[in-house]
Amino acid sequence: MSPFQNSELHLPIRPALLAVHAQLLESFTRSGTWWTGAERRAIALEARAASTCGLCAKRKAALSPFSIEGGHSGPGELGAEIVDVIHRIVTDPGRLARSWFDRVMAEGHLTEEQYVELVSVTVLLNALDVFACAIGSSPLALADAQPGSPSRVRPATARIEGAWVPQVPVGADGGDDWTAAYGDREYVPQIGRALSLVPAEVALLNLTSESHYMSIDHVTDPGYSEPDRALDRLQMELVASRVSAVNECFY
Amino acid sequence: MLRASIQYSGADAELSGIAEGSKAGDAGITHGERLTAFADAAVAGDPAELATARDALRAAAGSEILVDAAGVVGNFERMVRIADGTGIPLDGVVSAMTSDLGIELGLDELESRRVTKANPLTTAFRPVFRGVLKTGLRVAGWRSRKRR
Repeated sequence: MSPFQNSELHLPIRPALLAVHAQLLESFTRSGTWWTGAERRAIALEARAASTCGLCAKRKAALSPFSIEGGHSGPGELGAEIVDVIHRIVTDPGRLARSWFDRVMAEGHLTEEQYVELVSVTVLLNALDVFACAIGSSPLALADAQPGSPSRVRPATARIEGAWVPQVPVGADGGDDWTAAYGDREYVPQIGRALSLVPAEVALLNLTSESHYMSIDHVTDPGYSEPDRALDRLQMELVASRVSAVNECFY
Repeated sequence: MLRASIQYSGADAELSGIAEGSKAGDAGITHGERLTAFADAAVAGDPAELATARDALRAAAGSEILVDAAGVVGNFERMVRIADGTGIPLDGVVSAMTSDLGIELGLDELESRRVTKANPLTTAFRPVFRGVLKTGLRVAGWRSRKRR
């Protein structure tokens, strides 16, 4: 049975989508690699609150998002600096800058590993909520946090390779870390490697891509279409490109 | 990837739907106008505008397309935030294929353009890469359609 509350439309949601949504929801409440289940749940709820935050709306409308001070509206279970990072990622990602990231790291409230996992939880929750809203449903409820401790395992080979955050190097340079995250693939686009400092989040990213868009292995093949989709490849790429353009994402 | 898919498919489609949204009409893509209107409304999040766009897409294209379009919107709301939040550079292939798109679609004016750097080697060999890629896509698409 679909968890989406939309009795009027009776939309036929593919089982694969529903299964991944359930898996993502569960992942927000259990311990990750660098955050506990309670902390991941708090990050997710803060990400949900960002879309209706008054301060974020003012910043979005301002010439510079860094010119307006104030407090965010949301559950506030995390430190103010961490809440600010989550809200900026959700509401104004196109104006995040290297200088901002360096300042966040210098403040010392987050490690690089925590930052990468926070980005992952934030954007996954946002993706679920955007989907729910788009089909006319309420956001899915989060269960209570599960007990447990973060595994705190960092890929030994991770290093800076052009992104702000360290990444597992491609192929032989990444050794076992590469194989664990990407199997026998010889190449993965940057977007698939962005979160590789926290491999468990790469797995969630891949699951989400496969069910909502297509497997990362097929993205660069313009002739490929997932067999169970109603959208053809051109329609899919039109929607994808338009969302990126509206978000002012150059990548 | 939209341009690559157009070249591969041999469709008479345009890229104007990316920059202009539903103002560009269908841009040669089936239900293109309603899909871009739905994508815009889903990103903006205005309930009334979204309800109108949702109903129009569903009426024209059906419920399955509506659900799949919502999935792609959600997925790319996530992707853009990962790219912008981690400052990843452009991939070599993407950089080669999109160099002139920056001007065509006004992408070079975006704030995030300053963050997303291209690989200097790719930049140097860009014209060669682009020519080979365009020809390769057309040939691959033609051969694939011939096999069907």
